[in-house]
Amino acid sequence: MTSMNASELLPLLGHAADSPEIEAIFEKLETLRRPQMDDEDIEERKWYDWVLVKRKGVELGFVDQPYFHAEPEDDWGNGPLILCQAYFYNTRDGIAAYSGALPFGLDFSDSSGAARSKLQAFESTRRSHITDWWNVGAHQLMISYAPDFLSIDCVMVKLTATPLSEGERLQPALSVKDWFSLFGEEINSPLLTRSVDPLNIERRMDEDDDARTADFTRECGIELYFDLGDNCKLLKKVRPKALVLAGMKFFRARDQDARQWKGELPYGLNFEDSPPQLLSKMRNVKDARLVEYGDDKLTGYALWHAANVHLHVLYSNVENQLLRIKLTVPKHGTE
Amino acid sequence: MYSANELIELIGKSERNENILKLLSNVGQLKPLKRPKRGESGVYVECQEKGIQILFTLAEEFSEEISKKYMEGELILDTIFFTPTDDPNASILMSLPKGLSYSTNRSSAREMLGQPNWIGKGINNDRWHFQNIRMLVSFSADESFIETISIGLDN
Repeated sequence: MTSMNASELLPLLGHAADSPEIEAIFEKLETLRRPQMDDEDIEERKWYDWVLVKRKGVELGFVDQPYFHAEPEDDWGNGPLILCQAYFYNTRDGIAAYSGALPFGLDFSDSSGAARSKLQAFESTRRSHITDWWNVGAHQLMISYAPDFLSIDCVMVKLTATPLSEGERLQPALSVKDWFSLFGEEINSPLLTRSVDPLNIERRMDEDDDARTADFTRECGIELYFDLGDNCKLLKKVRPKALVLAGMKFFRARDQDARQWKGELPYGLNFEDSPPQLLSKMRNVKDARLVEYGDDKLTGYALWHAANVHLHVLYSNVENQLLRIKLTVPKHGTE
Repeated sequence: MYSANELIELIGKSERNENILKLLSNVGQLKPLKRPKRGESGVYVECQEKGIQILFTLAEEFSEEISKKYMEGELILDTIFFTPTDDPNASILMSLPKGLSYSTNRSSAREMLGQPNWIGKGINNDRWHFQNIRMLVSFSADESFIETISIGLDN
């Protein structure tokens, strides 16, 4: 039986699933599974598929190339599927341990310390939380560990999705202070309309048939939320039955297919911050109290209550960086 | 043309078996079999105009003793569904299993095959088990003729 080394696979990231090189990998892995995408997937906007080879401890992730490379949206789903991720698993339920050579001389018996020293050349790029992540040049590398961090549970390599082109960006010029001052503004107030120019809130809500959310993720990575005045605890006086600006969410590139928000983020946060950096920055905010947090395999979140605002941050536990930052005014009945 | 017994012989064989490939070609399935989507256990080959439908199931859905003989993702012929065709000349079947014909009524079928191992409640289905094969016969509402017969691995 021929085993496959990770070093054979890494240069094939970006290759088409039906290319002879990837077909040879499937043969080495002794699997007849193949990734696919059909009309139903396209309708449901599922652009990824995975091939798990349990007997070899390997999983390969594939993605629609036009989607991944941010080509015009009309072409998304036209394929081909390309290899964009590879996972090498240690023993787990129903999956055998990968028996080939891991990249960068890694070994499943490595502790987090040993793994980090093997990747010393890329130390300046490392972001850590419950996993370690490095930028290793042409691709990203993520290691997850056993709960005691004394051995490796999974090594993952992946390509980075291309951000949407800047040509169609529509970005209002607003500081965080400006956003705070707009809380409570009625949906059609001249001040709000002028401030978010070139975004047009009313037109977007009509287009999306949504009475409370204006979604500008494609234009500039922001969603605006509105609520009835008497639901919100606000510093300014508002009409109780008027829809007023009650929150906003800032997105990083390609999360929910967004263009990344390029304006200022609250509390000096940066999308490149790791979860520990997030916690450290927020510890310095005097009136902010961490009230809830949690981690799962792929993402984690934390919620702070400050004097006049709530901050909810969603982060990735793969890339260990911030995904979404949401500010909302407190509602009556909450602290 | 295939006799029912020739088709039954193919049940449990891999998609890579030469006779399976020949059958697929004979029913017009010229491209490689579509792979099951993630989370799905098998694929259907629809060829009702030829008088049959075929269900292929992933080997790993069967016991470890069976599945370990196959590659991951390998499909094996699990069940064949026999259905009447609008054009009898288009059918690839010379005969139905166990001497049945679509005009056989329910009581005649029981006379031919014995008491069923399972009888559907509220539906006109009878099921018989023969060694490692199960056969389900669905009758018309008035039980006067057979609508479909399925024969598959008794796993």
